Amino acid sequence: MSDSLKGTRFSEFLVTTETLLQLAVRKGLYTITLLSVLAPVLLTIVLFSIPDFEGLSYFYAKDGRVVPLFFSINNGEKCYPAVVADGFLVTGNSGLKTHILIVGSEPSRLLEPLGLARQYQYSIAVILPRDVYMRLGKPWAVTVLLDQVSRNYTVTGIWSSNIVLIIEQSLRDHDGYVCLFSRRDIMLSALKDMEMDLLDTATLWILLLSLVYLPIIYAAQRRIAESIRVDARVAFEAGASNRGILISTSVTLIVLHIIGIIHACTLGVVLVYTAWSLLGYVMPLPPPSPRTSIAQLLIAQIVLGALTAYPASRGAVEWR
Amino acid sequence: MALVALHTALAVKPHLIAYCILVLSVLGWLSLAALGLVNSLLQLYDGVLGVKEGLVVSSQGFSPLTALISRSEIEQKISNISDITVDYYLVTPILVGGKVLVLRSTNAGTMGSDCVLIGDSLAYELGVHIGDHALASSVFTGEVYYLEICGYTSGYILEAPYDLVARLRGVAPGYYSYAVVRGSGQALEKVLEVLNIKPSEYRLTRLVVAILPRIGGNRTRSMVYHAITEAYIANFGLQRDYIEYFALAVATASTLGSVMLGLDSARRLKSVFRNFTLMGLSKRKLLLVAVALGVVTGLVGFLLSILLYNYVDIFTLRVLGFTIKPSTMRSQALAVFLVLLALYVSGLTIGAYHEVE
Repeated sequence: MSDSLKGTRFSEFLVTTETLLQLAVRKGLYTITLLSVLAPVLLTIVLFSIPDFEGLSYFYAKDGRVVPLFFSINNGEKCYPAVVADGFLVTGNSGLKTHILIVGSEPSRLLEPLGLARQYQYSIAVILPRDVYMRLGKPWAVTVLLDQVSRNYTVTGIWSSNIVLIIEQSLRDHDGYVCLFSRRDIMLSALKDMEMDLLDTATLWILLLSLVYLPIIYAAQRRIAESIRVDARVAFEAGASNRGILISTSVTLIVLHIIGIIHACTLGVVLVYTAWSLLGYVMPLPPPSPRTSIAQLLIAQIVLGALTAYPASRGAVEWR
Repeated sequence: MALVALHTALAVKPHLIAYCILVLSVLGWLSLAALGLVNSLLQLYDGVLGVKEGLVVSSQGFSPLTALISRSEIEQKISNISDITVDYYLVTPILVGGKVLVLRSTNAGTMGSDCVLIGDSLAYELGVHIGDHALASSVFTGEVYYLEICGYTSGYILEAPYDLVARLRGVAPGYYSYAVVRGSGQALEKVLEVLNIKPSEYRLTRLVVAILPRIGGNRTRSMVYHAITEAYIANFGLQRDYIEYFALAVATASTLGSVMLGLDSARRLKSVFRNFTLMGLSKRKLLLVAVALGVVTGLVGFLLSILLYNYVDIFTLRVLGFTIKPSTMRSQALAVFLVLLALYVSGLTIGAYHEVE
């Protein structure tokens, strides 16, 4: 096929598509497209513009307190190998069985952030639970019997917990890690998890809604195709090929679908911000925070609409 | 002849009816799921704390997990009221690994000091058994605690002796998160009165939450809510009514497509309508046939959506170790059905009217 013929066909296709598009808009058929995409697009915009949960963590913004968390894997920068064991604490004539958490770290790295000691410079530290410390008669040193090995330690401090904490620089075996996180990070992580869970559920819901709207979009496109059937026939009689008209109609439907989605999207954004500013008079609402996943979901909806355009045109604008 | 027309429409286009039923059932299911999830979120703390009835007395805060009440203060106020039982609970969020779980005090006296009971649903999800141990961290004290699983309880909660919970929460003995007062309606009214809530300000329902001023705070306002979560989300400026309206708007909007479906169905039934018009069936009767067809299709579609809602569990949320499943009230389900039916029947009738014209 020569280049000039290809060019002629392409310009013919462009003219047909433009004509069909103009006719569809003039006949008010665009409203049908808009109605068919309104619900899924509007709900995508509304659900994915809910306020950012991170905003709720501003109460903890200045809270520099640190919380140690025990993980089975290394889960961050400030993680230290640790092991939990059962052992005996002996002091003078008294002794008792207790649970011991042994952490392999330089003691100051844990004691100072946890507020258990200041400027600690020794290589080993022992923190006793307050009740254990009282029961043992407030000793200044204890003997720890662990795996039939006894070692003497100077008591570094006490805490309210129910487990003995031993921090020493070398630890042979470990079954997990103690990691230090700030309270704010924990709060943020919990809120983020909740938000992600909510948005994941919303994504699934929107995707199912978009799928169930597929037959509705098909019905709308079919109706438009049938309405421009006569005009397409005129193009056919004027010499346009059947295939060319079919493709032009499909492209017209896809373009209308995309414009409908953009229109519904704009309406959604206006709705969200109007609702926020109006409700702001009644209650202190955080601002909406549109997520990037809106774009992905809208693209998915455009693709779904494009998939139905060809079958919708096929029955309506085909002649022999 | 109208009945014959209805029968013909059903018999001639069974695939069309089946297709409409399918679309309507999924639309109904999605609407019910959206409403149900919002409902469940509004009852989050009722579910997490396992409180189903009674008068819950707590204090101002962002969550019952952070609020505190003084037992002696409450006892002093309600000591003269008879025929009531009061249970005090202290709850605290704890961190086990990266998970936030809820630990509640229990009155079971035979438990060891490191012992915790784990909710059966939570144990199943975490895969833990009796005899296992865990290291839990307190967000309040920043300390690590050794917890041993000694038994099971119900739900998604952990239970431990009060002393252990108080240590993890970092409070002195005598402080609790909330109290549940149970008794006759009259006795509960008296309790509300001694808590400075005027009888005209409340309507006694299955569950009432009284929020006292913060301990040591200057505000002396007490308020009554009908769900624990409702009392606390109010602190973020969110009122239950607004959230419910939002959920209803989402549910209604999702069913809007049923109008288009109705219009499309009428277009596809064009030949049936035209033939019966030629056979002498009046326009009014044909419209009645369209309405009847819409009602039958909508009803079957909605019944299917109820089945989907009950048996397909894909819309869940996890908050504080608690798995939230949609729970829709009957009135809301009825509202969804009516909206779906009204929209579909309207589309079908308008379409049929145009076809007949």
